[in-house]
Amino acid sequence: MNRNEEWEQLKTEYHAVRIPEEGIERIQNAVRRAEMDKKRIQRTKRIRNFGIGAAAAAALVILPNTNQDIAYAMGSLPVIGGLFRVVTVREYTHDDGHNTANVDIPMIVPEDTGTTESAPESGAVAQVNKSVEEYTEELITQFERDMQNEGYLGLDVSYETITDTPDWFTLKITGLMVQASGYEFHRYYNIDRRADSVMQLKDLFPEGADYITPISAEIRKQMREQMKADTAMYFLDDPDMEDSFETIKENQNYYLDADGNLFIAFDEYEVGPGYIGSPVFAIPSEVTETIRKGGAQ
Amino acid sequence: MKKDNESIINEMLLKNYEKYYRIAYGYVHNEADALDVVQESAYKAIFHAEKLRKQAYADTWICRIIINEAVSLLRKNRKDIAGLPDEPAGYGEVWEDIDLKSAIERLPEHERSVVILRYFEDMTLEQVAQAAGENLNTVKSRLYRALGKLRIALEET
Repeated sequence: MNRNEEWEQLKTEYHAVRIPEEGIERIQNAVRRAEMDKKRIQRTKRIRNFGIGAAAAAALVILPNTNQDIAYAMGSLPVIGGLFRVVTVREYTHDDGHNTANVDIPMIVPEDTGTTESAPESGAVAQVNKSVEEYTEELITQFERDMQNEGYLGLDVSYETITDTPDWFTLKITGLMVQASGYEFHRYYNIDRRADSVMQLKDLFPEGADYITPISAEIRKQMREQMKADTAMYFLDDPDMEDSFETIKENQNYYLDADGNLFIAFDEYEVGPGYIGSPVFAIPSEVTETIRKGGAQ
Repeated sequence: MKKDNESIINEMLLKNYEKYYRIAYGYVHNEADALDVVQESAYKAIFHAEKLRKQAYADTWICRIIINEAVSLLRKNRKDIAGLPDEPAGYGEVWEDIDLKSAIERLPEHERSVVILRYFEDMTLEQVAQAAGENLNTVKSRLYRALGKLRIALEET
């Protein structure tokens, strides 16, 4: 057989390959899944950002009290307001056979009384309580609006105390929105108890310090490692995607554990496809120790 | 009214899925992997539809996603069987073992791409360049290099 014949035969063989029947279906499913994921992201971008501006403004008012020197000095003060407890202040439920909602609205109250009446009226706890209320109300409002437009909706909102030490308190709100498939999102409220201050990520660092670059680099490193080990998939280093993960947001979701270790949290679809869920990255202290505020440990 | 990228890409997927599958199969040589590649590429193409800059390039843009997916799957599989001798990827039921075929198999991935797209899919060099995400000259020299190797490989046998 001469080379031309070989080429022709190869070409014929190449073109004889036919996609199996299920292939078309799988393509259509992938298209639907992508469309749904996109819609969900658009819908939830608003949810994700709701109220964050207001919280940032509130935190700013308090910040003058939380500069490094004062934070140090406060380390020796007794804890303000004793221990906390989180109670459900209100429940919103809805079930009409098509749409269901179950929203627990939490409130942080003093441990000793445990009553909502004794919740502080000012300070970081009051701020968080107010923000939680506004946020959950917004979720409910949106649920009621979407329910009329689209039907077959599910909303589930729950809360969890992540960290509770004399120094630090983290409350996590988890939302699950179900429409054909689910979308999970989170919001972490962090309170520096000694400074009585609601802490966004940037508040852990001195003003003007660049924490975004080293933390983002660490997360990209961990993402690559996980992808290499094939334990997860992220929107990263993909030449087809110009929106691959580059840096965390200034006010990225985070929490500190009881030992003061920093964890950076992402929502579903924020940095990877839906099936990886809501990833959380532990940031080793070496990454931030040179820029972290002394008082935050 | 002008159609949005997403509908254009969707139309392309439904019109050309045989081609996308063929290209994927040309890399991975088995049905299960080729299906995975096509499915994942369809997801990415729709998910990132807004990234397509010119609608006229929709087809080659999807080809590019297919190629990238296929290549990363091959790399992953190769990593999984690290330590085994470096044999060419498995045999498909349709591909007979011929010398030219194995010579093509042994080409580096980026050279194999241009050969497949140019000669099997009958794309123009410009289209190949778009699909490969390279400029025209790079693609030309890759193609000539590949053809040179194929000729040499053939003469050896």
